[in-house]
Parts: sequence; structure tokens; C-alpha cells
Amino acid sequence: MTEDIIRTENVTKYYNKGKINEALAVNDVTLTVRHGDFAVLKGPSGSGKTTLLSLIGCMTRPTSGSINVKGRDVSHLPERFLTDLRRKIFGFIFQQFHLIQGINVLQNVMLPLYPTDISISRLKTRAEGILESLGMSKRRAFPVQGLSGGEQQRTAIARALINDPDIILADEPTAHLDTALSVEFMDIMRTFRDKGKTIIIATHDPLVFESGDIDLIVEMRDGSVTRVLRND
Amino acid sequence: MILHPGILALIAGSGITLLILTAAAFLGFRILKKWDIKDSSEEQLALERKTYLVSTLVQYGLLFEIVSIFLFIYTADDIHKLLVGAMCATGSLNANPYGFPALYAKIASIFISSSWIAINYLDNRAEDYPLTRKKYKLLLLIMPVVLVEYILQIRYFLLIDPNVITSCCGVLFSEGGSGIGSSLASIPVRPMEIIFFTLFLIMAASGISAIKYGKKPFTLALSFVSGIFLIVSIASIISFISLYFYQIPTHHCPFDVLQPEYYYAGYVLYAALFTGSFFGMMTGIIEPFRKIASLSGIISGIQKKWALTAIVSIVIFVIITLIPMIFTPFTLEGY
Amino acid sequence: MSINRHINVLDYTLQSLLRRKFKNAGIVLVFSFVIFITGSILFLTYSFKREAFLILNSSPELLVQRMMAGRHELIPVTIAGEIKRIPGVAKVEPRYWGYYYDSLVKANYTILSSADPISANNRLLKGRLPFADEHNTVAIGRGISEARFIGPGSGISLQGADGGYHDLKVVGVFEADSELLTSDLIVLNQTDIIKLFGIPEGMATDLAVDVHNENEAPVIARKIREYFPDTRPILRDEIIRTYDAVFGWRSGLILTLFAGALVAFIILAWDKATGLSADEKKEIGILKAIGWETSDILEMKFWEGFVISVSSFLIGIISAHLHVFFWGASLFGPALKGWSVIYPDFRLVPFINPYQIATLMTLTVIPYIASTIIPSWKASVTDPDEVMRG
Repeated sequence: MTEDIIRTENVTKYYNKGKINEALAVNDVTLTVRHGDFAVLKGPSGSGKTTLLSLIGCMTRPTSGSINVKGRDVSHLPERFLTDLRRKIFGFIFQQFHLIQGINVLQNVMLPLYPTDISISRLKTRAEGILESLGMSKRRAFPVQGLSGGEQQRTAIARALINDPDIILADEPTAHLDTALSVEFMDIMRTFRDKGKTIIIATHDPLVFESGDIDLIVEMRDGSVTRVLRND
Repeated sequence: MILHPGILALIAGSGITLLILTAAAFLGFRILKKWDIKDSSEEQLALERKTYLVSTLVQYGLLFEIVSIFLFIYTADDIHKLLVGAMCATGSLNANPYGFPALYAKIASIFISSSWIAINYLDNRAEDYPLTRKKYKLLLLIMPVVLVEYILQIRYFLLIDPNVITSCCGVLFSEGGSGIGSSLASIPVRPMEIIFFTLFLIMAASGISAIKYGKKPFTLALSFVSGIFLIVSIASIISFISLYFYQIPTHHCPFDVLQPEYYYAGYVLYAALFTGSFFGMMTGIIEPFRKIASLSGIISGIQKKWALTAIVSIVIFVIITLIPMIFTPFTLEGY
Repeated sequence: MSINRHINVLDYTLQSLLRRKFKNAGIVLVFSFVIFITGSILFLTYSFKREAFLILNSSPELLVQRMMAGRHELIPVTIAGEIKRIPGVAKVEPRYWGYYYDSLVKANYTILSSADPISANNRLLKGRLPFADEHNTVAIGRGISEARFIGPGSGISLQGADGGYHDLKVVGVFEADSELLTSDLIVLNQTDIIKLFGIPEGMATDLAVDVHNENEAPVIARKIREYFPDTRPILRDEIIRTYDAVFGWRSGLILTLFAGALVAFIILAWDKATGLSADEKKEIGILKAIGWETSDILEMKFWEGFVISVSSFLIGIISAHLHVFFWGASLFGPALKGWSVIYPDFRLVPFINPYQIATLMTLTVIPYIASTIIPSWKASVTDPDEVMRG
């Protein structure tokens, strides 16, 4: 299927508009991501790629312009609808991982789906399955403070998968990883893409955007898109 | 008088409720002035965040109101020993002209708060907050009601004079006396029973058809009948239902049934009655919202849920009223 | 069913409360203390009121005393016959009772006749009441028994009006439903009382009047006053009302004084709630970023308040109960009892009802929850993408 899964039109995002510290993060961006794409938002820090990622991932609303996810306009949706969509469609991997300290790996993985109708036991089974597929079963009762970098990364990935999302978003995922772990990360992402998921990664790490079989590269600078490269 | 712990608690508790609901009303007013769903600016986002505060405030306000109405009745009951002629809560409430109006005001605030919460629930189910304007206008209505309730309550307690003789339910609801209470008590029992149970069946029937079809005229019928059923039920409680609980043909007091001697049956009774009639009425009240595009798809589903809740509640209500009628040897035949 | 989401959120809340044990334990401790104090005050006054009610229940509907120069005097028994003729009067009995000052322990005892219904209504701890025809035997209250170190079989000597000492043998010690009444009681045979106090023949302390219909009591009281202007008829209902009002007033006073402490606590609660640690802020941000909605966080905050309130409430109310009913309310007793008597300790009848619980909750839990509403909301509306940028 090559239908569009994400479509933005003239999307602009200001922070603190009208105030002294007004900042233009994303400026008039129009782009299209197709279903099953392995896409990269490429640019240095401050280029707006992180903000664009959160806009796409329904974490925040654009100041102007529109965003379409799976054909649905999400630009003016109230928070509860955005959250609902996010739960169904997106899985997010943060740059700092942002795991919750004080609880263990399994609990961190289950957490996104707590406020839904799924029972704890079913949630547990699902989480354990995902950890197993990532080779993290042995660590599942470990408190996250004690994990190595690679283990934290895999926990973060597992958490992003708990809701079986269509789209996986990752923000600078290799920033805190060495080469070996970075390569491993890209391999894991590739397996998901092969299963039919859409991947969008924001990064300025060449290891990511120079690896083969990237379908779409969106280059950004100072909030605007400078170049779009599609590998057809 | 004011230093009675129950009264202190009521004044503090009601004061807090007044504060909470007034804050909610003011916030609602501010939101109302600047609301624009099409706007993506940060001001609009801030307003959307404020709506969560308003609904939280109203929900807690309602919770406190419900606690306070029971506290009010119980305090009235507790102080009856201090008032000449009073033998239960009814007598205490009757000690000065503010007692019963304070109670009615409390019931009114509970109904308005609950209906606000119901409408808010509906508003949140649509993507474009279609009911926001109506909702916050309704909220402005809450404030005077709660304020009036507070004033009435304070005046009631301040003016209680232990030396003024008050009349109790024995007189208030006596078959020989004058006034609404007596008229209710002296309605012949058989016709009242027939009206009550017939109305129950009508309500059940309209409820079931509302559940089945989920549209008018069934939903409107349910609404209408629920309102009447509420009034008739309260009249019936005074007229004959309470008699079966007390097993005394002249004790018509509607409050004593909340006491431990009667297994606190009053709580379930009134909770079921108010819940049932509330949801029944709300089912029809939201019918006009069907015209709104973003709500038209979900109104039916919600109406069916509410109608179901209403029917289940009044069935519980009627079962409880039947228990003493069936299981005790007391009978009103011949009265 | 959608109950799962609430269970899950509650589960997470409990977990997160336990992760911050010290902070939360602190709040629970202070809150429990507040509830403990308020609860003790409430339980104590309630018990006193109930005790007074219990006592008074067994007294006659109408008591007729004779007044002279504004003071209570002995009343001629012949009046009884005339009162009996008033329509509505069922029975008139002369009562013989009085006070006795014991200089040994510096206490006042109440001396009552064994014929009095109050005596008959009580269970005895050990022994029995003096028989109607028995002489020089007494039943005494627990307070006297412990103050004087005497029990059944012991002797007690009381100085009579004639100056001489009457030696009496203790045949029973009271354990009453209401210790308030019997702790300082001595019950004697009627003839013994008359002899002890030197009551002249044909006189009695006062008259107990039973009426057919309670509602008629005020009317009959008026008539008695009319016919015998030097008498003072006392309605039992009036006494009940007075006790009720006094106890209500006293407890209200203490509560008002305590209100200051309560306000301080509320401020503390608000402060604690608003001052979310950086840690907690981050945690909420992460939850919102991974898919929790504002109303989910609000629910979590609700459960937090609920768990803290309920645990504090239970701890507070149970300790208050123990304090008042098993440890004699050592902290407040004197302020509430208000009279100086020799009660080395004083056990109240445990009593609790939903009204007290509702009052207690309204005075403590409701203000606490109210103070957390705005801070909870502020915490819940954090923007999820702040986590991304922060």
C-alpha cells in the first residue's frame, strides 16, 4: 500500500507566541509520509525536527496549518481525542528514554496502556511477549535504574510497542549509544518496518540516515524544510 | 446553637462547597467569553486546560453537596430534642421558615450540578466541544442557587429558638391538619398505591422502549414520566410507603426512614429514586442536541445507557418499597 | 468493562505513593492526628449526651420540688394525694434522697433510696441491693468502692444528722450502664435514709409524678404550679434539653478553638500539594508523553487524596475511639465534664454512629480534599511535549 499515512500542509508552530521569548520552531512545513515508509527527519539541533516529530505524533497542536493522520485532520482535536489517537497509532521513543525510575522494566513497558480497558493480566502477557522478542525477558523484574544503556534503550523500544502501533517515532535515538548499539537499534527498526510499520526518526547521526533502505529523507534547517529526498 | 458540632461542620462544609462552585462558575464565565474552538493559539489551549479545572470543581462540589444534604437532615434530627414539640427531623426543620426551603435549595443544587456533569460528559464526547456555551451558561445558574442555599441554611440555624414550639410530623403530616404535608398524608391509601405502581409501570415501559429504539418520542416520554414519577414517589413515601417501614399508621415522616432502626433503608431508597428519575429526565433533555452534527452519532447510545440506568434504579427503588409491604405482617387495609 | 482503567490507575497510584514513603507518611501522620483530636472531642461529647439521656430516661416525667426563698426544701407528702387527683396523673411517689459530703476523700455522694426506680435499673457488679425490709445495708458505686477501698462485706460509716455515726454494711457494688450516674451513688433502704438525714415525718425530698400521656406533662406541670405556688415542677424533657445544649455548646467551643489548628493543617496540605518535587513533575510529564490523558492524571491525584484521607481517617478514628472509650479521654475529659468530682477513672459506653462519622469527615476530610483540587489540576495539565524539549 502506498497511501499517505501522514500529511502535513503549511504547518507552523510557535512557542510563547506574542511574548518576549517567542520562538518559531516549525515554519510552513508541507510533507507526506507514505504507509510503510522508513523516514528520517535530518537536521542539526534547533532545526525543528523534534517539534515536527511531536506535531506528527499528536503531542501538540500546530499554530497554523493542518496535519492529517491516516486521512483524519488532527489539527484542532481536543486533547482527549489526540491522546486516544496517539494510543492507537503511535509509539514514541525519546532521546533520553524517559523511563520511570523506581519501577521495574515490565511495569515501564505496561504503563502507556494503564488508563485503558485492558486488564492487567492481559497487559502483562503482552509486555512479556514484547520483552521476549527483544531479548529482555531476564531483566523484566529489574528496576530501571540498574540497567545498562542498551537495556534501557530496548526497554524504551518495548514500551513504544505495547500498543501495537502503526507508526513508530524516535527522537535522536542513537544520541547516547555507541556504534554497536546504534547498529543494533537500526536493525530492530528494520524488522518493524518489514512487519509493515511506518518508522520516522529525527536525527543528525549519519549512521542513521546513511544506512541503506531509507525511503524518505526530509532535510530541515531553522524550522523549514530545505530538501526532500524520496527513494522510489 | 451554632456551636453544635454538626452545625459547625455544615457551615464549614457548605462554605467550602459554595467557594468551589462559585470558583467554577467564574472560571466558566471567563472561558465563555473567550472560547473559540477554531483558534489554535496558546490562549485557547489554556482555556481548554481550564475546562478540566471547572469539571473537577463541579464534580467535587456535587460530592460535597450530597454529603452535606445527609448531614443537614441528620443534624436536624439530632437537634430535635432541643426543640419543644419536635420529635424528629421534620419538627426541627419546621422550627422556622428557613428549614424546608434550605432543604429544597440543596436538592436543587444537587440536580443542577448533576445535570451539568451529565452535559459536560456529553460535550467531551464530541470533537468540537459543541455544548460549551450552553454548558457554562448553565453553570452561571448554579452560583445563585448555592448562594441562596448557604444563606437559608445559616439563617435557619441562627434563628432556631429552643423555646418556640414547633410542630412535628405527627401534626405536619397528620390526617386532620392543614397544609401540603397533611394533604399528602391524608390521601386515601388505595388510590395512591394504584397511582404509584401504575406510574412505575408506565415509566418502566417508556424506559424499555427508549432503550430499544433510542429516539423520540420514547426518550421524551421517559423524561416526562420520570419527572412526574419523582414527585409522585415522594408523595407516596409520605402517604403510605413510610408507614410500612415504621409499621405505624400515623407516622408519615419521610426522614426517619434514614435511621439505623430501619436498616438505613432510606439511603438506598432515596439514592435509587433520585438516580433513576435524574437519568430518566436527562434522557429526554439531551434530545434536542441530536441536531448538532458532532453529537448526532453518539446521542442515541448515551440515551440508551442513561435509560437503562434509570430503569434499573427505579426497579431497585420499588423493590425496596415492596419489601416491608410483603414481608411484614403490618397492613394498611382498613385505613 | 471500563472498570479496568480505574483499577489500573489505582494500582499505579498506590505504587507511586509507596515509592515516596516518607513524604506521604508525614502527611498521613499529621492528618491522623488532626482527625484523632477532632474525633475524640466528638465521641466524648456524644457519649456524655447519650449517658445523660440514658440516666434521664429512667427518671419520672415530672418531678415536683418545694421551694422556699429560692432554695430547694423538703415537701409535705400530703400534697401527693392532691396531685394524684389532677386528671392525667397516673402515680405520685415520694422520693427520699440527698447529698452526703465525705470529708475523708473530700467527695460528694448521692444517697438514694432502694425504692427509687433509678436504683432498680442498674446491674450490680458484685452483690445486690439492700432488701426492702433490711436495715443498715448499702449498695455503693464503683467510684466510692475504689476511693475508699471497700467492697461487699466491708463496712462504711456515715455521720447522720443527729451527729452519730451509722455503721452500714456494703452488700453490693454498682456496675451500671451509665457510670456517670452510679459512680458516686449510695443506695439505702428508705427508712434508713430518713433516719440518716433526720427527715421529719410526713416530709419527703421531692415527689415523682408519672403521667398517662407524655404530651400532657407540660399541662399538668402548669396546674401543679397553680395549685401549689411554692412548688417547682421539673419536666424531664427540659432536663434532657438542658444537658444536650450544654454538651453541644461545650464541644462546639473546643472545636472552634481547634479550628485554628485545622486551618494550619489545611495550609500545610496545600503547600505540600503545590510543591511537587522536580521528580514528580517529570514523572507526570512522562506519563502524559506516553499516552496518559489529563483526566487520567486527575484521577491519579484523586486516588492519592482518597488513599491518604481514608488511611488517615481510619487511623485517626480508631485511635480516637480507643482514647475515649478505653483510656478515659485523659486529654479532654475535664474540660467537657466540667464539674469537680472524685472520678479516678471513668469508663464511657462505646458508641458510634454514621452521623458522627459524617460530621467528622466533613470537618476534616472535605477541607483536605478541597485544598488539593487546584494543585492537582495544575500538575495534571502539563503539556506532554514539554518532556520532549526538556
